[in-house]
Amino acid sequence: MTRSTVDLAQKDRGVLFDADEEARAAGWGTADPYVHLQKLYDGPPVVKGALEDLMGIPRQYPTDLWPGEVYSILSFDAVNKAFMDRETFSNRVYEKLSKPAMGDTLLNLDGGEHKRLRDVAKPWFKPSFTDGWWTDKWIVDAVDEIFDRLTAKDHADLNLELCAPLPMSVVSTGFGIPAAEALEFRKALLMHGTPEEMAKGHAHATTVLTGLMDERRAVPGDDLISRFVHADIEQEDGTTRKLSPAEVMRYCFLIIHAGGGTTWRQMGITIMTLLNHPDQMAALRADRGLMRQAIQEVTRWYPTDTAFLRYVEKDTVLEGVAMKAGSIAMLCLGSANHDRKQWDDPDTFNIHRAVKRHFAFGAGAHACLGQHLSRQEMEVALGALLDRLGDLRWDPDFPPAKMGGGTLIGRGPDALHVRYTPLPK
Amino acid sequence: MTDATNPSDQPWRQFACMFCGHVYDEEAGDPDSGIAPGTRWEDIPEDWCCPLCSAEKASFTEV
Repeated sequence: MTRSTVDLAQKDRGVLFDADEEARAAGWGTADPYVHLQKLYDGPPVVKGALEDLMGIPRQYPTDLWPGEVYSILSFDAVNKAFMDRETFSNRVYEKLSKPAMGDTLLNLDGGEHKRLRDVAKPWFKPSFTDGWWTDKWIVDAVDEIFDRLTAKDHADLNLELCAPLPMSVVSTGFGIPAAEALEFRKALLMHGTPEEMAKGHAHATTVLTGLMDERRAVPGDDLISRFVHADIEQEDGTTRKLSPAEVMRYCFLIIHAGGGTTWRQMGITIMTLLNHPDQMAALRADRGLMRQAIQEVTRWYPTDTAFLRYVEKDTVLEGVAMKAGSIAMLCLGSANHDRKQWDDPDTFNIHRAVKRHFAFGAGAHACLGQHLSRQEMEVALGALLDRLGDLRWDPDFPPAKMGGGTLIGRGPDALHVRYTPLPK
Repeated sequence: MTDATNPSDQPWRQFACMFCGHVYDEEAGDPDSGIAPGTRWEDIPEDWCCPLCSAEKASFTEV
């Protein structure tokens, strides 16, 4: 019985769970970034020009929304400096990228306002909470349910049957949205389609959340909506107030949107990579002590998002390159994570290498709020995969899995058709 | 600049969070979390978390 998770079928794939379709819907090219980043690795750490132009690919980020120059930030040290200096490299870009659709969220806010809003939810995404509450209450049950379905047969598309439903189900049910409604809610949230369809979807999501907020305000439950409607936010003068319904709504939209999408793709990248490196998958199966560094390595080697934007707030010089206020900086996580000065043979996937900081989840004040939850979901899911799917291998009846998605945003495999021997729990 | 005292005269060290890059500077401490300027890394309680991303103390490495 499906209680904790959404049971997806091929008909649900569409633009929600197909990285290439998602990219095409957004008008993005889908070329592999690392083929095109190669030529930049030995060059300057910061270069004037849009990253796509330097890579020789179609433009993906709308950097022409701003009148200033565009700079590509490529090296580990330069990307680190930009991420850590939020007064110079701000998130103002999201005023145009996310605010029109989502309103004021952690994405576009900066400074004290950002910190005060982030502090509300920070306790619910810290490692002790993700390893405890999220895992015990939501992740384990969801993983068990999914693997009970998987082990009732000997083949599956793990993209659609594990990677897509797990994070969507966990973050939705953790919020308080029943699993049975999670798919419709996500469709409404992602706002693809005509303006009328998008407005209708947004209205539906708003209605669902408003109803839940009213219920939980009256009778709190053990879920995030209850926590949000009863949480205090500190104000600039040091006093506190409750979040407004609109603020709760925007937070919910952001977390459910982000939490359901990025982990889906990154989990797919992780499984595809391990299947393509069977010796390392075998090593991980034999020694679960390698799990955390394996997840760290795959997120370094192939993060789902290749680049992020920042707005240059004041005249500055970064690695010898002068940038004027009003410029756009394109921080390339992909090249920074493959910096030859930081890693030996960085283009090789190697779970045995010493763990080192990288930028898959960003860095600084805007580092991904949900990163600990994302890693925890992947860890529990991978553990179950290794425990319950014996002799896991690519299904020869299907074409090889292909990495797709937008070149700079939203990389992920198209499908993960596998065969296996079901093993008892 | 800070009220840190350094009776041992040892250089101040910095430790970076593995997950978000936040740097703990011994000289500056982390007053918002109750860690006074001048608090040596070893003297920070083990349940202290990264003020940016809440990662555990064990997730930090010396810069």
